[in-house]
Amino acid sequence: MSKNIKTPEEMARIKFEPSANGWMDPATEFRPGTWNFTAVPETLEYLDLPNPRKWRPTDDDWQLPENWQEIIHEGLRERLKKYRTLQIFMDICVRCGACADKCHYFIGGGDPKNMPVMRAELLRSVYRNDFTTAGKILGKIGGGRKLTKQVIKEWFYYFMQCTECRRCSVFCPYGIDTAEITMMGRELLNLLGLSIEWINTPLSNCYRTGNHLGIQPHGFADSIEFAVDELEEITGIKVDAPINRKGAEILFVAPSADYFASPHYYTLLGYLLLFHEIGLDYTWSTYASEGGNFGLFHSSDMMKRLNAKIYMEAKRLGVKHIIGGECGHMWRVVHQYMDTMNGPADFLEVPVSPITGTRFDNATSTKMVHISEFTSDLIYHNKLKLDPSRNDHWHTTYHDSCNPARAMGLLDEPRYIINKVCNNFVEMPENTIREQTFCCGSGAGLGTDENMETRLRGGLPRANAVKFVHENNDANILLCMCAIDKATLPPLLEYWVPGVEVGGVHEMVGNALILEGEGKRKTDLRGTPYPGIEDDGEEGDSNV
Amino acid sequence: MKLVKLLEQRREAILNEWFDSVAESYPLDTSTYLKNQADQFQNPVGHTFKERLPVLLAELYSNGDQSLLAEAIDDLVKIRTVQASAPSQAVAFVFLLKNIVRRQLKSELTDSRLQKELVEFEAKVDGLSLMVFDQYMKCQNKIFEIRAKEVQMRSAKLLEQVNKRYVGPVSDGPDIGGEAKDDSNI
Amino acid sequence: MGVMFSLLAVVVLILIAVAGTELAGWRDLFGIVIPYAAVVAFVIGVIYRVLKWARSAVPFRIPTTCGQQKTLPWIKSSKLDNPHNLFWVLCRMFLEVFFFRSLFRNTRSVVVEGPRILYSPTKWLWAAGMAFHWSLLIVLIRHCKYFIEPVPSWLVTMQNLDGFFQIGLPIILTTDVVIVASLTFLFLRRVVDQKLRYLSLPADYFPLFLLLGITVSGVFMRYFTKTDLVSIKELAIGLVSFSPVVSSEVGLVFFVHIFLVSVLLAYIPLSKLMHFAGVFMSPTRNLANNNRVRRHINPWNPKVKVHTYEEYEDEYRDLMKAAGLPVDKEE
Repeated sequence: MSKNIKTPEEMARIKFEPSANGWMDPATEFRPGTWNFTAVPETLEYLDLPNPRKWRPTDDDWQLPENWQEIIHEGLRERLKKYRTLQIFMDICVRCGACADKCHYFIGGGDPKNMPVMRAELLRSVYRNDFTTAGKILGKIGGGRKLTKQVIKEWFYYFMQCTECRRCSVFCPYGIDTAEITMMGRELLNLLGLSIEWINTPLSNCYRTGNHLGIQPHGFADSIEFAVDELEEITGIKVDAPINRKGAEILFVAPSADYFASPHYYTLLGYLLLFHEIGLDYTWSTYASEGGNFGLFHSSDMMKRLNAKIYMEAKRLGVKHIIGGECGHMWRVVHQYMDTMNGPADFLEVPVSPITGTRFDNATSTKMVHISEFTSDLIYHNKLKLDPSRNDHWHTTYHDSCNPARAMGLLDEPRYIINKVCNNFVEMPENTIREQTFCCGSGAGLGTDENMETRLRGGLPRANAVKFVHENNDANILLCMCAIDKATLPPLLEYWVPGVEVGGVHEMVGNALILEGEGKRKTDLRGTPYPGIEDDGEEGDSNV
Repeated sequence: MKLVKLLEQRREAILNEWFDSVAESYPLDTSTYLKNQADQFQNPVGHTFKERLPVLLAELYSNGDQSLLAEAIDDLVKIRTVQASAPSQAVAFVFLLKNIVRRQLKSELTDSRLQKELVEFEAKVDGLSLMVFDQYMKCQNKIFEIRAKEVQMRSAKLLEQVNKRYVGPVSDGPDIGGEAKDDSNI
Repeated sequence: MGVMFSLLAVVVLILIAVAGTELAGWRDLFGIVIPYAAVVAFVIGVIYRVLKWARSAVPFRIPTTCGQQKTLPWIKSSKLDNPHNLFWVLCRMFLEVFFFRSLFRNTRSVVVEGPRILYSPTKWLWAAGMAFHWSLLIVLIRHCKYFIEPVPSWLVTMQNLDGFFQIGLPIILTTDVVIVASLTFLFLRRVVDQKLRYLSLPADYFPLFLLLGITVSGVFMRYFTKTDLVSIKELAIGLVSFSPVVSSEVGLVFFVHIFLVSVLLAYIPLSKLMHFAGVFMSPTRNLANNNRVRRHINPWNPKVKVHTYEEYEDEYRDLMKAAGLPVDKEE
């Protein structure tokens, strides 16, 4: 019989491991749909980053610098001293396997090297071999691996398959955080100029124009103006949206996708309505027009370089404090890094809500408040007139974004708001929400279209939980407070759970908020006519 | 129909073997996880196979609900599509059933009438495989569709805005990000 | 391969102890010199490792938050899982160190389908981990009776409690059974679960075999051979008072036992067993989530190149003015 034709049993086999010798043999197959396009040389040059060149992961020769081994060794040595996390996480993992089945990429895809412990072992094996006494003596038997070009390729493959969501860290008895390992791994790769386009282009855009999308100041102003006009069409009220205004009390910073992308945009409309209705003395900024920070996915230095703008702009405009919009990784940076990196913000005042007088004691040093903390305080003090029935066409459920959940603990504020502005809310199953929430599968700079298969695999656990509430509770919108989620969950759900939309919490607020002097609303913020209301044919913006 | 009776009798064993061989198509360390993790939310892949394979089997020897069948195929193929590196890998799980049924009915297969029924049954398996292949193509197309749509949505409002009223030239800075897409071979 | 290598290593170690004492007759070496050396290696090694960790900076405060943060007064915060001050951090650490809280988290909400009951393997991991570590602690404390004379009454009470079930003669101590059983489970788990077999290294099997060798030789001495406790106690007290004497009554099994213990002590600083100290220093667990309240200082906070507003305005001034945006400088 033919040797060229395999049996179905053989053909069904999903192989992730081209090598038969276990995981110690590095071998990576860059097949389409699994990897991201590499950084364009111009973006590296613009940011003074090393080794700009044109290359692709499928190339045999990655054109590494001549002394690449030395660079990695030096880089690792330096980081072991700079980060106790790295040093300890390299040393104390007992490989108990508690994290193994906690990663969404492993659950949805089945590649054993996506088990968090294995992802760390890819780096740890090199550390053992070159940095520990036992490893130097024992070599392979001690779990050590030589640093080869193949190892670098493997790092690139798997560190670009970790969304730094920290779910594994919740279950680790020693708190080993794979996000931290991945961040270190990526920093090392960056030293060799191994970065991806979807991280580096936003970086260089943000550095130059103030936001990831590269929107220049006039474009930004135009976009806000466009939103103001659209709101006037929907509500009949013209809201004020000051930009770069000195002397305002509050600087508001949102992720830039809110200005142009769908469905982010409807959250922007929500903010504008809210701020108008409470008469907030605030300003937008074109220079600090990005709350998100792709530097988090690149290196701590890049994170700092981009983040610096927020405080610098707050100082220049002379505001008292800052409010930040709905974004996930932005809030990891603001909450855990900003004050340390670019503080102290001694030129600002402790945030006090001008409407309720509430002093935000949880932000006395950073002086930046999350919009959901701000809004829930407003609602708690009955400062907003709300009509939750305007959200009756939505059966909502809520996706905790990884960073606010596991690097901040922002869990109940959004739920409080949703329950006040929507009549229909249902939670997804217990072990898929709050600190155990599943990642969208596309965070940490991996939300590109070229690696869609990987994203769909990684997003399966999240989508699966959504499907459960879609089928059992008729959930038809997944709310979230993260710009990356809002970009990447729609395709994910369209594939796995058609019929569920994605929206922001403040979109729901905007729908429910009763404005002083407004007439009866004919459509929601998406332009979808409310049932029973005749469409007069003028609204053409329906996206639903 | 003698075969139907036998299949119903051995249903449990056939399904277990089928599930196991699908799970075993994954790397060793993954297959134990797929088999043993009982929580449907921690193990959506294993759960889907456990739930949906029985629907396919039932349909092969009885006349069930068409929408139920379509749903089962959809759920299964969606997963295999994003996991497999080749179409054959994605759809091959259906063919596994042929050998499993033959193994399970080995002692009875001397009966020539049964053999005839088995040929008919296997034709149905082939038919199911083709349905699964259709679904695979649908999933692939869906992926291309959502890829294109996602890119559009990233700047959905920008286009709308430009179309609606923005006139005049947009100043251009250094063109970054344009070229990477060009040398893709996807 | 890892299993065989580790097993072989422990067997060789046992043979060394046997040959060294029985054939070569180096009883002082195995009874006195090596234990002293091992303790010295252990103490110096552990201090070295901990100091090395301590020398690494903690640039950022990055606790993993596993519950609601402390924000507005009317929102109930989850103090244990998301501690906002040192007191609750200590509580969190206490539960982590003594009750393996994070591992326990695994056990929650398992949806079981069908008639078959499936246990989540991680639940067993927590149970076996607890059983092993607690037994080890009790066994270690119990060993104090060899080093103190007269034996304090609380130690006697403890041992009596340990032998609560009053089975066998000498009475079987619960911890002896539990420690051997849990070690066996932890080993089997690595071999049976393919996922774990895939990721396990010799460095994972070796300590298990070593600990099994130690506990089994200890159990052997207590229950199966006639062991001269007086001479062992004499040696033990001699060791702690720096005047050790190895009497001729000390038996072979004891030498195996104490040699394996010595190897374990010396091995700890070189290995993953340092987790006993590392768990206290893990920045995702031992820091409070009060990031926005108190500024964390990064000792190496680097100076970085930033794009200033002035540079930004210089590039876009004309466009900004055309769009009606305020500018700092007109030209």
